[in-house]
Amino acid sequence: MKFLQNWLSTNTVPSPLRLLDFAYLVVILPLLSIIKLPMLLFLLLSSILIIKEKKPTNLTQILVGIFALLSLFFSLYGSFNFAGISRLKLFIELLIYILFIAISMQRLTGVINIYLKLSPLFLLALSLFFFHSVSMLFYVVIEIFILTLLILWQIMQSNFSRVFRVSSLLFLTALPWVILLFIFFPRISFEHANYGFKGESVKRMGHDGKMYLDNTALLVPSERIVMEVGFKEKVPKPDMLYFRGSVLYEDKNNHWEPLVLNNAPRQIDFNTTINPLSYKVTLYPTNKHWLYLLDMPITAPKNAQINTDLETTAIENVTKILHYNATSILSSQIKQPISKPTRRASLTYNTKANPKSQHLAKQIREAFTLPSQRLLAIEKLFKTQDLTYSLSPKPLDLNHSTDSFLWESKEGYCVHFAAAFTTMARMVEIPARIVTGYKSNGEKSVKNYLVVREKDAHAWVEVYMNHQWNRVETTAFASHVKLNGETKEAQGALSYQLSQLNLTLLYVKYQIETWILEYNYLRQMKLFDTLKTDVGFLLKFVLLLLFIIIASSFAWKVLREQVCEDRLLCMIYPVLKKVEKLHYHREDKESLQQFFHRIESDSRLFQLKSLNQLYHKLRYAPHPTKEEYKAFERVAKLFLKSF
Amino acid sequence: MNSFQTFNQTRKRLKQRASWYSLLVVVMLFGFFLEAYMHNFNLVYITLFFVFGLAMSASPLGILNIGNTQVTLKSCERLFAHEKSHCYFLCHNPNTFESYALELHCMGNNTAIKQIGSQKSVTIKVPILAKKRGEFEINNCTLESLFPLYTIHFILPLTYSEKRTTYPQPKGITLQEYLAKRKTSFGDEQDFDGIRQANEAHNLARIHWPSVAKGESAIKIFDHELPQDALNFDFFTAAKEDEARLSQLTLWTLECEQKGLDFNIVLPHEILYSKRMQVDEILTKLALY
Repeated sequence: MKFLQNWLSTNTVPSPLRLLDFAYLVVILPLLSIIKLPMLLFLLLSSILIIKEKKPTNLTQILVGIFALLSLFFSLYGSFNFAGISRLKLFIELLIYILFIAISMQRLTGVINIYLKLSPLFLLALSLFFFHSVSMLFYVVIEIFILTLLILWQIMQSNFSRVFRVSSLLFLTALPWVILLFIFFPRISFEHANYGFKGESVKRMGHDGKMYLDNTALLVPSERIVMEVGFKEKVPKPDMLYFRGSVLYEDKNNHWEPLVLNNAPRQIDFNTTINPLSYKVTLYPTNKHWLYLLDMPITAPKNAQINTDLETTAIENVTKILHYNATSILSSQIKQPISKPTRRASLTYNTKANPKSQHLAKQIREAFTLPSQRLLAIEKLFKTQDLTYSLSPKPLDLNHSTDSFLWESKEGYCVHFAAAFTTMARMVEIPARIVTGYKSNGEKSVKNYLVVREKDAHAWVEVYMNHQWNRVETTAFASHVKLNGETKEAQGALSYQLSQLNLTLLYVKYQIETWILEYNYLRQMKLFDTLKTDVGFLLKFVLLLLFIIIASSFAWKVLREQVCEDRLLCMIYPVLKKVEKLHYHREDKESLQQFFHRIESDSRLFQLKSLNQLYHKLRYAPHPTKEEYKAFERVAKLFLKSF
Repeated sequence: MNSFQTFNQTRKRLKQRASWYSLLVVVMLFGFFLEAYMHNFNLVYITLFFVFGLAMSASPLGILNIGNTQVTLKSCERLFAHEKSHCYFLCHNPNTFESYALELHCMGNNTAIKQIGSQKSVTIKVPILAKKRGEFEINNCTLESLFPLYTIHFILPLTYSEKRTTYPQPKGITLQEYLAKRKTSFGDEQDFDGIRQANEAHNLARIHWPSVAKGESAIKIFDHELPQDALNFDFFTAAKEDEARLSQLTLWTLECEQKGLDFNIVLPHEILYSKRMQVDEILTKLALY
C-alpha cells in the first residue's frame, strides 16, 4: 500500500525509478495479451518483489533467475521445432521474454542502468509487431505521449500539471510533422510484408455456402460485422445492395447445395448500358473462400475468380482481414446462355414430394403457356397464402417442405421463401436457383460507408427467362412480418439513437482504417495524382494542412500563456493589463497599493479605489471568505466593463 | 512575423550541440524504419514520425526555454587567492513561460537551476576559486540546458566580462599571536611620557618621587600606557617574503576589521591608514602590490 501511495503521489517529483516503473507499465500493458502464462506468472512474481521494495538477497536473485528460465522454457515449449523457428514472430516473442527477464532482474536491484532506461523503447517497438488495429493506434499515440511526459518529468523536476502542459506543447508541435510525414513519406516496403505473421484468429460467418431449412440453419441474427463497404459516392439504393455469395441448385430435403459443375470461370456479356460501380470491401475473417461482391460482379479482386454462377471465390480461405476493390453492375438481371447441365439442375425437383404444390403447379402449367405468366401465377399464389416472415418459424415437414411452408406453417424467413419459390418455379418448368449472400437494407450506412452484419445474411431466387437470369426477392411476398415479438417501434428512440451512434463510431473506425492503417504506396500515389490533376482537391488539401498548422500554433500559444497560480493575482491581472493600455506603468519597487494610489486620481479609474481596498483586504485577511472573493471579482468585472 | 524574427534572433544567440541521446534517436529512427520497411505497418510509421517530430520540436522549445534568459553578475564575496568564494548571478526569465533544467557554467563550476518562473528572477550562488592575487576576470560563463528531451545541448554564452580583485590569501600568524610575541602591547616600557596626579589605588612603584619631594603626589606615565589610535603593521617585518608578507598583512587587516581596531600598514612607498581608507581599498592595494 505504501508503495502504491508513493508511486501514485503527484505532490512530489517522482524518483527516476518511479518514472521508469510507470513507463514499463505503459509499454507492457498491450504485450500482456500476447505473452504466455508462465511468463505472466514470472512478471507477477517480479512485481510482488518490486512492490515489497526490499533489496533481494543473493539467494532470492538466484531463485528468481531459475524461475525466469523455467518460465522462458515453458512459454516457448512446443515452438522448438523447425516449422516454428522459421517464424519471425517466435524470435520477437523470445526477445520480449528475454527483455522481461533482464528488466525484472535489474529492477529488483533498484539500480538504474542503461538497458533499464532504454528497454521501454525496445518494448514499444517490439509490441508493434503484434498489433495492427485502430485501438492500438490510439494506444500507441497515448503511449508515446506518456513516455514523452515521463522524460520531461525527469528533466523538469516539476509538478504534474506543468509537466503535462509542456508535454502537450511538445506533442502539438510534433503533430504537424507527423501528419506531413505520414502523407508524404515514401512508402517503400519489403515485398512479403506479412512474412512470419499470422492473421487474426477470430473467424466469424453467417454464411457457409449451403442453405439449411431445419434447425441446423446458420441463422445468426447477430450484430457482428461481416464486412464494411466504402463507395466512391453515396451508398446505392437498398434494392441494389445484394452481396452475392453461393448459388444453390440441389435440393437435399433439409438443405440446398451448389452445383459442382459450375466452377469454371465466367464468360458473360454484361449489359454495357449500365455504368459499373467500383467499391472497396473490408472483409473480416470467415475461414471460407467466398468473397462477397455486389450483384452482378464483373471484376474479381486480386487472387480471386468469378465463376459461371457469378460466385466470387478466393484461392485461399479468408483467415485474416481482407481488403479488396471490386467492380459490379448493379442489375437484377444477367444475360447468360444456360448450359444443359445447369438447365437440368435448375429444373430438378423431387416428384415424390410436395403433392399439393405439384397439383397446383400442374394447374398453372395448363392455364398458362408463357413462363412469365406462370411466374406471375406463382407470385400471386405466394401473395395470397398470407405468409408471415418470422425468424422463429414453426418446424417444417422436411419431406414436403414446400407444401408444409405454403399450406401449413405459413411462416419462415428468407431460406424458406426462397426454397419454396424455387421448387414451385421448377414445377412450372421455369429454371430456378437460390442465391445466398447478404442483403443490406441500407440503414446501416453513413455517407459512402456501409456496414454489413451477420444478421444481413439472406437468400433470394433467380429464375431463367428470356435468356437471362432474373432476380426475385421472395421475402417480398410475405403479408406479415414478425420479429421475435418485437416491432421496430418497440425499439424506442433511445435504442435508435444508440444504434446510430454505434454506426457513426464504426464509420469513424472505418475511415481511420482506410486512411491511416491501410494507407499504402498505391493510395499515396493516387493521392499525389489527384493533387496534380484536381485543383479543387489541391486547394482543400492545402487549406487542411494550413488549418492543422494554425490550430497547432494556436494551441501552442494558449499552452505557453502564463499560468496564474495565485487566485487573487489571477483576478487582478486583467485589471493591470487594462491599466497598462491607458499608459500607466508600475514602477520598479512600487507596491501595488502605491501604484493604485498614484493613478486613482484619473477619472476613468474611479473604481480603482474600491478595488484596491478589496484587494488588500483579501490579501491580508487571515481567512478570506468566498463571498469576499466574489465581491472582488464583481468589482473587477465592473471595472473592466466600464471601458 | 515579428515573433518569428524574435525567435530567429534568440536562436542566433544560442549554440546547439547534439548530445549522446541524439545518437539514440537516430538509432531508433533507423530501427523503426527497418521495422516499417519489413512489415509495412502504418503503426510503426506513425511511431517513427512521432519520434522524428518530437526530436525536431525539441529544438524550438529548447531555444525558447533558455534563449531569452538574462544573466547578470549581481555581486561577489571578497575573493581571496586559493580560497573558495562565491559570486552571485541574477538569472531573469522574461518569458511568459517557465524555464526549466538550466545549468550555469562559470569558472569551471556548474550550478543547476531547476526552474525559473515566468517573468521572475533567481539568484544563483556560484563558487569561485582564484589561483593568484591581483585582477581576476569573470568571463567564459555559459548558461546551458538539455531541456526538453536531452537530445540537444543548448548553450547560451554570457558575453559580459567583469574584472574583480583577488586579494592575497589571508595566511600567517594571527593578530593575537603577533601581539603576544611583542613585549608590550603598545609602545616601549621605557618611553617616559610624563606625570599625573596619583591616588591611593596606584602602584607605589610608579610614584614620581621628585614630585613627592616637592609635596605633590604624582605618578609616572609611560608611553605604552597611553591609548593609541592605531596598530602599525610594517611590511618588512611582517614576514620574510613578499607574498607571505602580503598574506600576513591581509590576515591582520581582516582580523582588525572584525575586531573594529584601527590600524596602519606601512608599505615601502606608502602607508595605508584604516581611518582614511576602506578595508577593501587597503586589501586592493595589497592585492595589486
